[in-house]
Amino acid sequence: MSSISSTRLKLLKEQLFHGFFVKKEWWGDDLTILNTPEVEKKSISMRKALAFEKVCLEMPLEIKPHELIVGLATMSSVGFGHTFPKYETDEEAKYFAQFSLDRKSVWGHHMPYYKKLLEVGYSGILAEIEQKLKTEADPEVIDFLTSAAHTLKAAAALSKRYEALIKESAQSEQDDLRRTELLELSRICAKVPNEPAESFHEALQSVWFVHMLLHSTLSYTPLGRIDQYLWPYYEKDFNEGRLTRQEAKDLIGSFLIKFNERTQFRSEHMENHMSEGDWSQGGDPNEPTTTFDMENDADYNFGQSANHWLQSATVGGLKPDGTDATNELSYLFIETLNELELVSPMISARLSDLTPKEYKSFVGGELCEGGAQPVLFNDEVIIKGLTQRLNIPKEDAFDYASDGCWEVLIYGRTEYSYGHIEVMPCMEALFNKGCSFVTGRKIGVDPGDTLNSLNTFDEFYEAYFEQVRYRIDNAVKNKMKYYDKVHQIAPEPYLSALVDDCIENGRDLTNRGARYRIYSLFATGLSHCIDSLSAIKKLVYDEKRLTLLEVAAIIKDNWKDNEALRQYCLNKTPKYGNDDKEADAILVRFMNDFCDRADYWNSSIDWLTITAGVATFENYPRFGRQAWASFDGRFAHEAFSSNYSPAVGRDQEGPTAVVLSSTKVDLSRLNSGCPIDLRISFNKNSKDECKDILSAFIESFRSLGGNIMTITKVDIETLKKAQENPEQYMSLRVRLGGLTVYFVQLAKAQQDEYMRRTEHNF
Amino acid sequence: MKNNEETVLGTVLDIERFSVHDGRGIRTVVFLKGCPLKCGWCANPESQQLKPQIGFFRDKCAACMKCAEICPNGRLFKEQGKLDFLNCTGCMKCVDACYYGARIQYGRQMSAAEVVKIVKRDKVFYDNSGGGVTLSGGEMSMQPGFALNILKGCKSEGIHTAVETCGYSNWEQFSKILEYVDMLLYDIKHMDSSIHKAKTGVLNALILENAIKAAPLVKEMIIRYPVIPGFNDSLDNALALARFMKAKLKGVKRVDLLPYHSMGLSKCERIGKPYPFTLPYELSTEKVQQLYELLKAEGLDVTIGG
Repeated sequence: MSSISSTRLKLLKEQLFHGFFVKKEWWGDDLTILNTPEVEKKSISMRKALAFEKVCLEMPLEIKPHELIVGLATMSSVGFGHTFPKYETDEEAKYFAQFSLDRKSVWGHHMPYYKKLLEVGYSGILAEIEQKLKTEADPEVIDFLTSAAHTLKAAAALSKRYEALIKESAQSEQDDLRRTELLELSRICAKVPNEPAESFHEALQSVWFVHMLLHSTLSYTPLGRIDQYLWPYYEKDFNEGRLTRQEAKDLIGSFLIKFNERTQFRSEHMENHMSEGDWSQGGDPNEPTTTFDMENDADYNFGQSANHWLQSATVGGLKPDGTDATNELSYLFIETLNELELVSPMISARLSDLTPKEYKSFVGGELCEGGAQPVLFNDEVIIKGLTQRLNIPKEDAFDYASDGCWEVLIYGRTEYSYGHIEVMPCMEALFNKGCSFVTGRKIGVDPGDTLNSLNTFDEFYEAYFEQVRYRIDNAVKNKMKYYDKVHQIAPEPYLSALVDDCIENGRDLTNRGARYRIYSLFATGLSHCIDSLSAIKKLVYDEKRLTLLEVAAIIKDNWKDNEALRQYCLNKTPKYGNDDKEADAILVRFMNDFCDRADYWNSSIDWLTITAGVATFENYPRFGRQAWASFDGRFAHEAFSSNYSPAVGRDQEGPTAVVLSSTKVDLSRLNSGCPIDLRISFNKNSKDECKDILSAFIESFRSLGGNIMTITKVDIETLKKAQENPEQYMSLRVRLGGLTVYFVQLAKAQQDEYMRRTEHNF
Repeated sequence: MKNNEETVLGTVLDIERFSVHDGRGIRTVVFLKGCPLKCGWCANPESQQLKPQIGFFRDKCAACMKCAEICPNGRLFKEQGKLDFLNCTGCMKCVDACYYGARIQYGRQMSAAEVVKIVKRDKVFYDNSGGGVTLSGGEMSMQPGFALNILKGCKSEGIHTAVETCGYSNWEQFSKILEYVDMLLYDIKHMDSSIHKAKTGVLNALILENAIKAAPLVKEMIIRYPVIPGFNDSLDNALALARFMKAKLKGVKRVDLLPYHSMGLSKCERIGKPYPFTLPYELSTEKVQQLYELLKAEGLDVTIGG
């Protein structure tokens, strides 16, 4: 356990961790607003606003002892769904079900523009809406603006409910100090978010109210550049002597704790509220990118996304004017988060050539302590990609942030979604007449008898990539065809009021209102694809040991009676992640082709930006489970490696080789990101030495052109002990690919999977 | 001349990237094969013999007997892929034949240019961390021309060079090598020559003499003191070392205590060799701490583990 800098933070932490073992009540799934025929006649957007209002007026309130930031979000979870009053009619529900959509088809990921919210408050945004309504004639625009205005007023009413509750509890408070605190809190709740924030405390409370409400109304939103938009308030209070560093830390700690209150450590405490439409973007139900199967098998899934809400915050990096943005808050957020050993929000640190050395060393030092926070972003590569490849103006590109897990987007100005292009099933399709070996369903192009006649590796590769291209094309076409369906059942008037430029455009963000609309194509299962191609090249084309038809038969039989050959593929063929020329040449070729196809679509569509990345997020076991055997030596259903990381245990040349392999691709083309996830341990005696080595390693990753990296310092012995004595390792945090989790809260299968990862000894 | 440098081959045991334990910063350690000493506790017994040899990982063997099929002298294999190491000619055919990775070739022929090319790959990491290359072994000076060429090549690429040595080498050759060394990691195992001879096979006179001559020639020199229970862990020996350093090794301040570990044991098994060292007693952390304190009190910079 880390040492904690104040009594308040210590008490808040104890209170929080105690709550992890208490069953949380879910609220609101049985409610409806469809009580009168009049309501049913209203537009879907207005009905959503009315349901939103119902939540604001009825959701349970709570004030906890010691806390300086108040507001309780209703229960929800990426893995186990969320709740919201019914506002769609049965006919609508039936109609949209054919596109896998329902009222819970809210994608999250989009960040509110908190900078503006803090500067003008709801009241400023309402004034803007009213101004626009004066001259507006388009009924669709009027409908959107009226709904958005309705949600802002309802949201303001929620803060008033808190104001009243706190006042009441102040009256019965015996402790003078706490009573003063409560009275101050009630004053703040009376003011924000409706009015502009004027102090650091007001700003934090304002952000939390908005965040909490979004998360109580289906929208899993991240926080964006938190050290930037909060800075003016901190700076002013600090410079004018109203706030000490420790007082700021108490406020930040109280704020950060709130993001973890929905955490549940015990699977028996979880309720499943997933609907058919959860994680759907709308589309053909047979198209794999339409929905996202969370597989809520408790043993399997629990812990994976159970305590995940896409709550991510970004610090550091460059300002919109291109100068260094690092400030005291860039330190304080990471420092306080790690002091309290929290998993949420996940903090991403942007590092650039202008980032002070001191800050880079601080970040290295924090990662040396374990806990896997922060995630590292390389400004040079990411901004280059955003400006040069996506033509995003510099001042916006400089303002990028990590969204729910780590995807790169322009904070406060982007509507975002993605599709997984599962590249391993693409290989199944080639070997199995266009069908999956697992389901038998058609997932690709039937190659006919061509397997017989692919005489060179180039011919084979092209035939394989045709399958990948088919998946990419289908994903994009599906997205385009059904893009506007979401808006007809799950609009987001409240969030739209907080995202630029929805009001100016008079359109909901689900209705193309935001300044940027991005759809990412994520290569999924990449390392296994590269290693399989490499093994096929060696065995079929270089050594001519086997024919492709034999390879197909071996894969089909899941390596049955072929253990020696499987070992050969595992041990004797070039693998990605070893700085190996041959394997990396295949990687570069594949990634360039993948990005070319994304670029092709990006240049063909004018209203939607198409980007590329490499991703599994935390779902690498699930993606693996749904894929058949592969020629890299992987058995059917075995987990993939996470994101852009080499296959587990196949990276045997150390971490420098991993970085060198992965940066042979021009990663500025992977605009949405491609994280390398490393697990490391230390043998060095001195902490300073560890910090220096790790900081130098991170800096090398940056100068070689890496884009995102996550680092978890934990050795296998600690993991084993944590598995045996979980109560002693309650706060042990590890990074799973898309999120940071408490290790002991994972199901055993997930823990075992994590423990297989290569440990790089620093 | 240049041609010669490129064509002279040496025997490399292993090239280990991202090493942070043999010199400063992030380093690549090049282990050369062959050693003039025969220390029983050696942590890398597979490095002692100059010529390539086979290592066998029993736990990976599936007893498919492909090794026996391919071996020109198939009788050498009896059960579970186990090789009669004594009569092995080192043709390495069984290594290629083993799909399970249970057979490893210790030692491959490489040119210095090939080695430098691999070392160069991690240059960015050296530059950011103050690291570089470390030439180790075995004993690198067993292949003096090859070692010299590797170091020259690295220096011309602007790479910081370190050398780990037992010091038992011909001074003429050794001094040439030192011209290209930034940091010298120098083993001194025992101050008493006859005990030294009994346990390592050689007297320590040449080693101490070379140390004295080398000290003024390199920018940085660190003495490495492998602490072996029952051999050199006495306070007397530590004191003698400290006095020697202070009297004879001008400017050399640092000594690294490297506590004994039994890694050599399983490695010996892999190369079919009995482990010649019997541990008389476990090395306690208190003991290491005592040595640390003593050396520290003598005014030296001491680390445990390097």
